[in-house]
Amino acid sequence: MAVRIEFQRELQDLHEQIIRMGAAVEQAIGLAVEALINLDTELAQQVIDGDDVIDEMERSIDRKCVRLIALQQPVARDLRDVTANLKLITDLERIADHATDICQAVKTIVKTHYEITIPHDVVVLADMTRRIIRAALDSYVNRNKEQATETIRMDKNIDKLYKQLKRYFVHQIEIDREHVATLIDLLLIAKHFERAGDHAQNVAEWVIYFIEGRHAIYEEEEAAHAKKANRDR
Amino acid sequence: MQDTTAFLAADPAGNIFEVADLDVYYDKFQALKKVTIDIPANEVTAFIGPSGCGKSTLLRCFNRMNDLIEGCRIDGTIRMEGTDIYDRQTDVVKLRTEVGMVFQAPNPFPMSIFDNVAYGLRCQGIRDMKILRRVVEESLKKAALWEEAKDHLHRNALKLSGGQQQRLCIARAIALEPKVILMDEPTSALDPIATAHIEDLIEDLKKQYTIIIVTHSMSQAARISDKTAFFLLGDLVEVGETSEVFHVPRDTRTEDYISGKFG
Repeated sequence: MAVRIEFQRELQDLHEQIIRMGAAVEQAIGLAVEALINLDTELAQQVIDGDDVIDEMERSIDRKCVRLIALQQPVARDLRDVTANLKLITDLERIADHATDICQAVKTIVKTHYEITIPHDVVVLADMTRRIIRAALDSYVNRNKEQATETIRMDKNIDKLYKQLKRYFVHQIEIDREHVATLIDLLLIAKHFERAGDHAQNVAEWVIYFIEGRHAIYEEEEAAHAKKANRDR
Repeated sequence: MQDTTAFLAADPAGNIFEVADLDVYYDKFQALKKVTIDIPANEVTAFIGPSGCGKSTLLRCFNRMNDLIEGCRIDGTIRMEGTDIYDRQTDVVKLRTEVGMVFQAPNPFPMSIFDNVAYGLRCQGIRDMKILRRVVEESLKKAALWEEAKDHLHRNALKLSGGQQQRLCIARAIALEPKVILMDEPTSALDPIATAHIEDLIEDLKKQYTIIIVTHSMSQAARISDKTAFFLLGDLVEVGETSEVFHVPRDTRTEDYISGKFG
């Protein structure tokens, strides 16, 4: 006999709230990318203004998770479900913060009236970040381990490209002393995309934790440690 | 020097009981089916499962309480520290001294607190008041009842609260210096505060005794036990570290039961 129908309904409701938050975060990053490419300050301001809504979504979901733990005392899969949700909304909220920070930087760049073309690789990085966030959310919606694993893999490429961009900007700052402030803003923008990618990876790790009860990253680290210990022996 | 035979017979893994292929029948009804489980010493093992799953049946096998039930038949083996407790030569009285039991409803005898705790010792023929007083005090201390009872040792035990009565029953079991204490839903008749006292007590007692507890409270099993075994319709579905069973159970039936999806 199926029981705890109300609890299952509340869990379903929680998932729907998180999917709505995920959609809002994805949209914020998407608009931030657009604002960057077109140096559109109006659009940038729209993203900044929308951040409060996402913060409130996080608080509301947080309250719901705590209430479910207190009143329903979930265990096993249900416990992993609620705790994973509680953790991954922090990552979603941080992605939205990075979108806001990117938009603030766009506004600063435009204010300097510097005739600038955004470097192609920054746009590529922005697009990769948009795609990893979509992949992380898809893995969440589908509760799909393969999609989550693929998301984690995607982040390695983002990290690689960010490191290349960092070298590029350091070099540019050395040779173009006139535009140091803008170049630093662009480097920061790249860093925000890279960090947003890390948070998307975290979301995927929480999906794997929910499915398997194990943290993908810890196991990877443990395996690396074991490998190193074997080598050192 | 310790006797080598006894030393070698003891399980190197530290299991006090080893149950192998245990079948238990009540006439034609099979209550337990090919159950194999090790019970580690000085740990708390919780048996969980819906009513009629066989968990209390298994509990009662450990001190052969099932011998008293007409039509009960047992196949398979239960070894306690290497010795088959269902062997013909087993001294059942000695077994029940070593494997004490605490029941669902507190059942103090209608006599004083002191006499309740001293009862088992007197049955063993111990009359020396010095010894009795010492054991009663030690047992009540171990059962966390001494402070509340020391000034009223000759008061009728039935005057104690439910929680105190249950701790008294634990003291009565402890007085016989058992190795194992079996507990059959020991807090189901108690309020949350009395339950918390018993749970704290169990945590203390496991340093010295092995505890096997049957409970219907999932949260209690999660709180107090080191190992959890889940039974369903006479089968041992899963046994493992409690933290694993309540976090990542291996079997979907365990998952569904502990999550309250059936039962």
